[in-house]
Amino acid sequence: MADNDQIVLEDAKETAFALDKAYRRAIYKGDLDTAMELKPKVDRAYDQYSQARLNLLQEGVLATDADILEMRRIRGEIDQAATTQALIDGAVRFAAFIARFV
Amino acid sequence: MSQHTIKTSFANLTGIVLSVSLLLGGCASKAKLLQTGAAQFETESKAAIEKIDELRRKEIEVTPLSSKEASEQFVKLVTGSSKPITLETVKILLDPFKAHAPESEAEWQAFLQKMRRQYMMFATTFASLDTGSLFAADDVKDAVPILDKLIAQMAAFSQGIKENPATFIRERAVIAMELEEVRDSDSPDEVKKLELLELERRLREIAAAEEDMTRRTVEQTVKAAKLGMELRQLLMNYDELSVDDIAEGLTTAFRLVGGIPGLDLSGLQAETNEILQEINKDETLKQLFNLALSEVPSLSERTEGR
Repeated sequence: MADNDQIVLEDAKETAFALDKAYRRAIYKGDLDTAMELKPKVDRAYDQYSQARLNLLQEGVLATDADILEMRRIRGEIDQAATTQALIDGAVRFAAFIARFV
Repeated sequence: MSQHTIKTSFANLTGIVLSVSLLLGGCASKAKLLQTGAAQFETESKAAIEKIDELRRKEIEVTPLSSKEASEQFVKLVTGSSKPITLETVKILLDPFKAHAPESEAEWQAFLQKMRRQYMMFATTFASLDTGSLFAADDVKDAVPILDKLIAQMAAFSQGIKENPATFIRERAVIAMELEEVRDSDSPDEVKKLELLELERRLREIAAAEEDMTRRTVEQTVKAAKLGMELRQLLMNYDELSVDDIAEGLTTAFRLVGGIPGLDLSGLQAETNEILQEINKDETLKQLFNLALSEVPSLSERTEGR
């Protein structure tokens, strides 16, 4: 699929470049009628280029929603460890306080 | 229980209290250092994501006309037209080079947001590590497989941008059109030559800006991947490392990352190669990285060849 996206990216780049050049020439020469015909084609070519660029980047994405859930789980465990540790810390401080009177 | 036994018990307890307090203090310091490393990884990764966003926008960005040029163009276009002026025509007359947002804009936004969220979530996983450090060593290791994916993603983005560097298509199209106009004009050769030299200067400026944009984007993704690799070492050996070990590891990581800015594309390629070598040393990372690039033949062949 990425092969296709790579080809689409190259093709869209060339097409957008050629159409944009023709569109700019039409504008430069004051040829509004030709410019009107070309504008939607130019926009479509840039749309395709942008989509292909995005598709190629998305091919590199590995982390999934399941990984987000896993990160939440790990955070929950660490938070729980913090709660446990706070309780122990409290107990230790209490013991230290009592020890001062013995 | 005798008075002596009670006193001995409390003396032992005081010793335990001190030991636990010291242990907690040491663990908390280690944890705080790790939090710093994870937060920095988030910062560098999110900066890389912003660079990718900047690059894709700049590629299809248009330099607006000055108001004087726009007015001249307006008159020329209206007088040169023959068909009825429609609402669509008025839009073009007002701003002929205004680019519309790509159809994939919403998808782009979702992708960028998803990426930012992933790296932010990773850093916040350790938010309360400093207060739970005594019991959370195993949880720290659990985060390694996710970090592996986040590193491989950054390395894949880096390779992807290098394979498809920034091309300011619209800017190039303007120059190309002007080049053809000058070439085909009836102007004297001397005038043509001057005009072409000016266009060459502008074209070289665009090429330099494209290279700079590509370099800065690759640089940021390499920085993030490199920091991720160093952080991985710390996570994997978290329970065996001392505060000093972690501090030293992070200092090295920040120094390495700090040394990257300013490298040209070949320098960045060397940095990337180092990351790829590290990735290839570790079977899990290697598999993930190859998976990320599996369908880009030129890239996967290159990494497998190492």
